[in-house]
Amino acid sequence: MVLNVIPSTSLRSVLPFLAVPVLWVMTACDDPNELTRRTGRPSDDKDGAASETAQALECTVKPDGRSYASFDGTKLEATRVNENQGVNRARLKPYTVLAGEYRRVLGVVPAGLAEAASSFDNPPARWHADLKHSGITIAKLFELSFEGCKELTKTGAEYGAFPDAVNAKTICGNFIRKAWSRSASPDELAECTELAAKELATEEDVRVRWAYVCASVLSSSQFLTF
Amino acid sequence: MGKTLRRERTTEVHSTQRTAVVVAPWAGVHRLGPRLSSEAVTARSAQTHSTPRAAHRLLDPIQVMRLPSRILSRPLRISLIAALVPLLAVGAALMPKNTAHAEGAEADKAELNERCAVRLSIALLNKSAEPKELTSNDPQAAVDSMVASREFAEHFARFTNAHFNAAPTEHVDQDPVYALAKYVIVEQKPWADLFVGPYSFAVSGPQLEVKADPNGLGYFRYEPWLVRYAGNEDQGYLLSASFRLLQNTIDLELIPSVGVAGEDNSATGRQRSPCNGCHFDAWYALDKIARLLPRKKLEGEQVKMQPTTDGPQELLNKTVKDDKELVTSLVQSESWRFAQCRNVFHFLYGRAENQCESKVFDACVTALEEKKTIQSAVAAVAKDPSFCRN
Repeated sequence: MVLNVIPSTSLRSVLPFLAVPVLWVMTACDDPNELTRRTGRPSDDKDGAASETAQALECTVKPDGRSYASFDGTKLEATRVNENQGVNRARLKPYTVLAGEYRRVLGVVPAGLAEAASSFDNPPARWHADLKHSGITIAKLFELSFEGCKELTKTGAEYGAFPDAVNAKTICGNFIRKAWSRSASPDELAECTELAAKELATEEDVRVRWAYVCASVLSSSQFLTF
Repeated sequence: MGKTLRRERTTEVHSTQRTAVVVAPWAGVHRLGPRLSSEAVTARSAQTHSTPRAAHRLLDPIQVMRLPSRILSRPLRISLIAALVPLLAVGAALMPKNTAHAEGAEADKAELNERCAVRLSIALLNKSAEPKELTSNDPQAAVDSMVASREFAEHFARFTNAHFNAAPTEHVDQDPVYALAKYVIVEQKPWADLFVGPYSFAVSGPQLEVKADPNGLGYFRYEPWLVRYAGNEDQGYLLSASFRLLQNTIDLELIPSVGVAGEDNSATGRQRSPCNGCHFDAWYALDKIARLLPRKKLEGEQVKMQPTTDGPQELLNKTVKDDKELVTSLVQSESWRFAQCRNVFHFLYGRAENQCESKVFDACVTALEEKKTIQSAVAAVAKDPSFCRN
């Protein structure tokens, strides 16, 4: 994968750094060209980093595929974008699967989920629509995750212990493995441990503190996309 | 009516929107300032809900966020940030999925299989994966049984209905696309039957039943569908239905022009440049297609359809005698196969295929050509290793 350039810094310092692109994504929703600067104007591409990233997304080995002609002889495949395999995959999980996904990871379904359809623009009967991210969906997802995580952490001896460098690493690792269907990287574990042991230190209820850690993992793109 | 149309492909736009989710954390770091208009921030902040208390506590460090304080008031900033906390809190983890460090190749494979099972189940069945699927050694081996299921039929029928229509409708009788797509999948009929099959429809309680009808032409002769897309052409020609027929079969994308005051929108006006391009001169000439379809007739407030009397039309580079020959020609074309497999990619990936995926796309077309069913086309893409690679 070509996009792994996240700095290995503390969560506190990463937060403001990441807030910028997330906000940028949200504002860019109104103009998709903002995202890749595909406006066709050379002057748009002043940002060297953006160019480098865009280049890294491009197809490196174009297969020799078939050609498809329209009625007027136009080559239909000419409309394909120049993207590599596997780089354009983050698709938000639909509302209808969230119950199953929460059950898979937490063993429980947040009670509020059943009443939350309107926060996700759940499509009407006989219709389909991909879930779009918005302030509403993101806030609701965190709220639901936190609710489900509180159910999980209200029992279990491991959630009765205050986080430290050792137990946070284990519990974070377990949360991430379960929710993301993969093991955490050392950097990810460090960030999560930092969150549990330091950033959430003002939360006096230790089980609630673990619930916040859990909810953070469940509110990440690694869990929310498929 | 201002029905001048021009061709425009929007696939790339759709695709780049999706790319953003992956790319944005790195690509947009330096771009905040100019993009954060106060209106945009206010609009997005207004959408946020409250979040649990510690989330707000977590936000305090974000006071150092490099947002211009003159743009955001503190309440706005807090509410906006509150909505972002879930993403930010594990922002460091918003990384490519193969950064994992599982113990050994076997564990890596197990994790990859688990992610593959999750993806397949949601993409094909719109549901979370079953426990036994999560531990499967080869999740893609289940694709054939998945596409043979009722859940797939429901999911793909909904997808097709949404792709072929402009907006959802409350009226079940106006949704023949959904009913027939589901029927064709469940009965394992050729996908072409959706467009040219001998069927008609009847409302039965909350459902629209599909019935055999030798005079049927997919759903294109079903009167409620014709009424839904009757449009407002002054002589009753179904220009809207003509476009919809082309969009459904070969994914032709046209955008209506905005008419200007005093513009002649009659057939005479449409024969003048630049309207004639789409309406009379192109291989898909909308007015000529409309002359092969029934014509709208108003009886009081009721819209009725009456048979066409215009005779054969020069279309698709030949003389086409009626709507059946028109749709059959479209469905037998390369454009139709291409459009249906592009739909398959939209269904499975949420975007069109890209240049790097042309071989997988070709496999989809081959499956559609040889096995005829949409299940086989979907399976060709979903079973390809690239679908579960990361």
